[in-house]
Amino acid sequence: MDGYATEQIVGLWISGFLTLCVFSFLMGDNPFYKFAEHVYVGVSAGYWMCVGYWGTIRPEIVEPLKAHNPVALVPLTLGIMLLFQLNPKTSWVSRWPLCFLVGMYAGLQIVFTMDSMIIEQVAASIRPLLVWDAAHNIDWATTIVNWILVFGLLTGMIYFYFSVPHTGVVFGTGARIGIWVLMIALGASFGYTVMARISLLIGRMLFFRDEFWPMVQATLGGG
Amino acid sequence: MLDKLANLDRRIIYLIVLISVIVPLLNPMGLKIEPSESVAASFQTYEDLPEGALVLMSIDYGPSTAVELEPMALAACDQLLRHNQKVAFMALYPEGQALTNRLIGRLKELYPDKKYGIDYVNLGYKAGNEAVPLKMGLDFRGQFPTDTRDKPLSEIPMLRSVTQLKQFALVATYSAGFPGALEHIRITASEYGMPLVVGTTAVQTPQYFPYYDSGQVKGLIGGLRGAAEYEILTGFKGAAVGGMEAQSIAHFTIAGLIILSNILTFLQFLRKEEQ
Repeated sequence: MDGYATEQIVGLWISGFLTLCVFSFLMGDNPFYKFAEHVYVGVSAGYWMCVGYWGTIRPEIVEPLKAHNPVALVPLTLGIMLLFQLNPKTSWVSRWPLCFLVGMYAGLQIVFTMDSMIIEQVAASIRPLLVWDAAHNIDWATTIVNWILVFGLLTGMIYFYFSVPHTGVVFGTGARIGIWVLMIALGASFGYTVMARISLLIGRMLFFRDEFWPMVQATLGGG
Repeated sequence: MLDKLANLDRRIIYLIVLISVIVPLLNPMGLKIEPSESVAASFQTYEDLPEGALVLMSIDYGPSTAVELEPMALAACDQLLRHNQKVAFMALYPEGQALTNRLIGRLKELYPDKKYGIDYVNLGYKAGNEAVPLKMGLDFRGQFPTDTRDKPLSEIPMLRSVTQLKQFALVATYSAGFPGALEHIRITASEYGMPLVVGTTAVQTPQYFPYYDSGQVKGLIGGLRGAAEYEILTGFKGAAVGGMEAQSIAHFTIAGLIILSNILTFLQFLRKEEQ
């Protein structure tokens, strides 16, 4: 049908219809929105079940067991133990695999977080407060940026230091400036969030412009 | 009149924002976009790769964030294939595998002479979050024994000799959240010392600037804006530049509405004071 396969046409109509159903929530709650919401929840649950089986259970348990790898029995046993949570009388059994999960994640996070998010970040924040360029003149741009970074970091940390009262020149003024630094950072972050939300709207509009409407024109001869 | 405007029906505001998005999409105006430093650094990192270099690209986003991340991933793939480099796709995000197939579909249209297995390959999604990049560095073939077509890596021409992560010249992640960029920064870049380029959604961009600033990340592309800048740099005709015009007009509209509402609130305050 004018270059479009039937499943493509059906898929695009479903996609377009569900997009409009979700947008209809802007006018208030209604049956179309409820329909789209329920479809989304149902499809997501089905999708995650498939991902769980094909992405985890099959490659990590079924296939190793088929290859007579006994190590796969460990995650299988721990996984089955987690299901004991469903019965209040046997829920204590599930604490053991949970302990394993918490311990493993904590171990991984401590090592990698310490290295990449603390040591490397602290090292990167130790900046010269007077920067010289190749001609031995002061590089004002970099110098000012470094001052802002170091000053912002210190005042931000003072704001979150609660072991002494926020009074006096160092802790009182420092904490007040720290709030301003945080507010500026949060403002910039909120700006990015607005941009992301508008991007989602643009995404759906681009879908209608570039995918849905050309299909309608091709199949119904509207263009 | 003042009260009427101050209590404007929110649906009218939705409509105004919708119009501000639709009009520039239907009538592109050609607004100028200047690439930022972190996006230019990403572009240059790709440009500096030698011909035939292997790049591992992690597609860590789902359909909801594809509007921001797909244009930058597509522009990067175009840049790589144009320079005869090779791309191995992987995914930490469950939906990443399906979106990689969509990306490969576009690449097939753009480069019909490039072949699967020789110029690009899909290694697919791996469950395990942090454990995936961790195992990748220890035993790459153990983590990815086959591609998504169940073909062993030893039978895929572009990956025949690859047994270690270090054999890739660069790792890139286009990430919408967890698991994604942060896991690659912490493990792939910091632990294994791999050069890493990160593309993220706008919401996450401020979170990743410190890693770019510290040199842990070679380049950072943030949101639709970053994708548009990347398209400008590569010359790739994608969806981001057009989308960015709509973004700019929508931002002007929202900023205008915020200013207007503040003025109205101030005028209402003055009127109360007078009374």
